Amino acid sequence: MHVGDRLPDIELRTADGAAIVLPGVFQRVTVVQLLRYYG
Amino acid sequence: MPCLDLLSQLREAHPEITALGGDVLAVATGADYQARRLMAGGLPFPALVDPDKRLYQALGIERIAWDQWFRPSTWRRYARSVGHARQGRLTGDILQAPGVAIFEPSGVLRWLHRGRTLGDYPTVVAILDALRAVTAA
Repeated sequence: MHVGDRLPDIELRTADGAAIVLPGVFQRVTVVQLLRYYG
Repeated sequence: MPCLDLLSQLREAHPEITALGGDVLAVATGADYQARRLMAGGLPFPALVDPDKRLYQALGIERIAWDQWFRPSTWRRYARSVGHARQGRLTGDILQAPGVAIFEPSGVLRWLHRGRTLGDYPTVVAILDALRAVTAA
């Protein structure tokens, strides 16, 4: 996707294992850091 | 380590980010227990897990090509993060490239940095400048 496109619904997991769907969770302009891993 | 280094800088910048009308999410391919540990440590924004790399794929953030591992710039980025963050256990896809994206609340992508190699992140200053431009628009 490119700048100006809308993110399709994507299901991720919270740290507790619950399902969460982007972009529905965005309430403000949101900076998303995509890491390789948290270790 | 570069990942945790930027995460730490975003944590420090979080009050400024919220003052600009923004927020932060972290997403990683790794283990959920590591995300829980970050949250328990007081991370002020959610640490999410994307084991199937759906968000990375949607944004076109690819795996690190093998030739990138032989580039001095890759290891300079790694070395710069030494002393700022500690290496933990490797989980998830260690060949996944990193990135940063800024979305409107509607989900429209407004800014994107696709990393190509280890630690290929924009600076926090660049992220804040991009956020200012988005929120001022």
